[in-house]
Amino acid sequence: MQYDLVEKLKKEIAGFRDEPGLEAVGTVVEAGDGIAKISGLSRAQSQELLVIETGESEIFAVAFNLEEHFIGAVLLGEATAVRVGAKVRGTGAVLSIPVGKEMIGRAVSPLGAAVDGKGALFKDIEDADTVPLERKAPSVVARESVNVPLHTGIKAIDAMIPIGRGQRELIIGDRQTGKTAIALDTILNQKNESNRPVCIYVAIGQKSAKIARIIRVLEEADALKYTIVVSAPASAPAALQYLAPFAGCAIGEYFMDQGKDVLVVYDDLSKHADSYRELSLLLRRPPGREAYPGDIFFLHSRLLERAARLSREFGGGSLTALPIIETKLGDISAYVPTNVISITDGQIYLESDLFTKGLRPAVNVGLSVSRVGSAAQTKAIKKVAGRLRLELAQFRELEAFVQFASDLDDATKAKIHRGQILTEVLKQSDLQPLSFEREAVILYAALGGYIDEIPKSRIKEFEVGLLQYVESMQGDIFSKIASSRAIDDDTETALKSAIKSFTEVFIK
Amino acid sequence: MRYTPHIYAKALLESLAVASHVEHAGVIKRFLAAVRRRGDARHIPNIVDAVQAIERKRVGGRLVEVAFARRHKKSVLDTFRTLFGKHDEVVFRTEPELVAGLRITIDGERELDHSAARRIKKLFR
Repeated sequence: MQYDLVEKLKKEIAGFRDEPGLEAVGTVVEAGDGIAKISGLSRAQSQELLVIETGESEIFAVAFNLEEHFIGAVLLGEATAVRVGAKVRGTGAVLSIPVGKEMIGRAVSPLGAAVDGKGALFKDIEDADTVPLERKAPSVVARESVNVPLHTGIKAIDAMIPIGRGQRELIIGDRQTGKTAIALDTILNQKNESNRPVCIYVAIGQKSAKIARIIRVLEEADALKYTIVVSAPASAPAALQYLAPFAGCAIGEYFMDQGKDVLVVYDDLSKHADSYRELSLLLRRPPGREAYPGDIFFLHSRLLERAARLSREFGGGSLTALPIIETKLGDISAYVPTNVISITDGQIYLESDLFTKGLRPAVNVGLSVSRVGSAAQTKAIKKVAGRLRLELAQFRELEAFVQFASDLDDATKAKIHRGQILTEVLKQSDLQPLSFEREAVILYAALGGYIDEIPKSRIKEFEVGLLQYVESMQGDIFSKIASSRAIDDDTETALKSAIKSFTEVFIK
Repeated sequence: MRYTPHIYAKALLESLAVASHVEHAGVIKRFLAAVRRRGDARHIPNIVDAVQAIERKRVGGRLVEVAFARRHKKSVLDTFRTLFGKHDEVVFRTEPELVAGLRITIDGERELDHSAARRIKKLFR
């Protein structure tokens, strides 16, 4: 072993050629708070990767501000090691990370290093492909309209706010309203999908304990085998938190370019905006509204524009983005929330009031919308859930009259009752996503009026029982819906009779 | 620092250019007072460097910093000096961490590194 190493080194020394030439260099003139001011390097590019030579090691930095006499650079390593007078060299390359299928099932930093303690990502780093963190979004020509569904496994979302592959659907709500739970359920639900996407969960400014819990949940649900976690916890420097979503997107694009479907969750872009604000203020960029820099909109639009469904000629892959935004006291008209709402193709709005009332997921159906997803909705769900939004809207209008139930006419009473049943049916615990064929069966029973006679308190029990009954007695119903993605006349007849016979037994 | 050393230096040189020789001392005195008033007194050495840099550039000269791994005789340094233009400011320095050889830096922006330290580093990179 030792002999091999010595021989290898000897060969390298023998083949070593060194022809020094004039190189562009700079000098650190100011350093602190993760930022360095550099003089020289007058030909550096924006976003160029720079190398700062400290006594013991080399620290990487990214050129952010190109000014007349100085460069404002963001440090990517141990900021305290950088001293005034340290030499800086340009690399001529923009910030890139190594990528490969070896990343699947691993937790990585925004610079592409493993952070899960499971060893190196790549056997030989030379074998890994390298992709730039910032890349132009696919052009209009390369894109195709969203036409393949991405099932979340959550009844309320798949039925009323369907998401398509390549879509950008915002999950927005106050703290503790179940935003991450929706994203996690969506990842877990991909386990049984026939065309399973590669899932990427980007944690930005989250507590390390929360990230560890998420990884454990994914591992226990056997979902980590198709998931990559990009981790930039709250303890990471603002520069890494700023880079994390771009790293997640770059990894996603690598798989999309191979014709695969990818789902990227950005949890959350509010903290990402905060980290960018921190960097911008330290770099003395002029602050704008809420002290965010002027290009905060462009920051998120250029990130989310990279989500796309590519046409066949370009490989047919897709990148679906689920950005998360945390609002303060339900204020969706704040600066960053309105920006991201206008960039995305729809939003799932979660409300604290609904959450505390026990309605989970706490989706406000009135304020939630999917602008392109309905074109991609599975026929089976579309057929059964077409009336759901309307019936719930009617119920919300009449909800105020619930307390006067005895004075209402029969038609109004029936509408209120149906609304209550539907609300109960749409309740779903987290980490329990349902396959779309199961969702279709439950929604068919609810909207068809088959469970109107069942007391509200027994709806959950009924759902479980019905699914078990159909599975054991009429198992081919599920397989037919799953394969054809629709409910044909024969399946509908069989489904009706199965629901009727189970309901009779259940009520008795 | 409210203004960069470069801005201070430019202001000083432009003020000196329009003043007569007799007024130069007064201009410098008032300039230093203005710098102190802005709380930038500790940056005066940087401002002096910036003044020198602008002046050097004006006459077509460069700041050449030559670092050797060990001390050399004056005759060697003088020979080195003849390699550069008459407007160039040549500064010699001894840096043992270079191990052997020398490193030439021009205007702090371009560098020719012929040191053993760089070769060793490159070999093991």
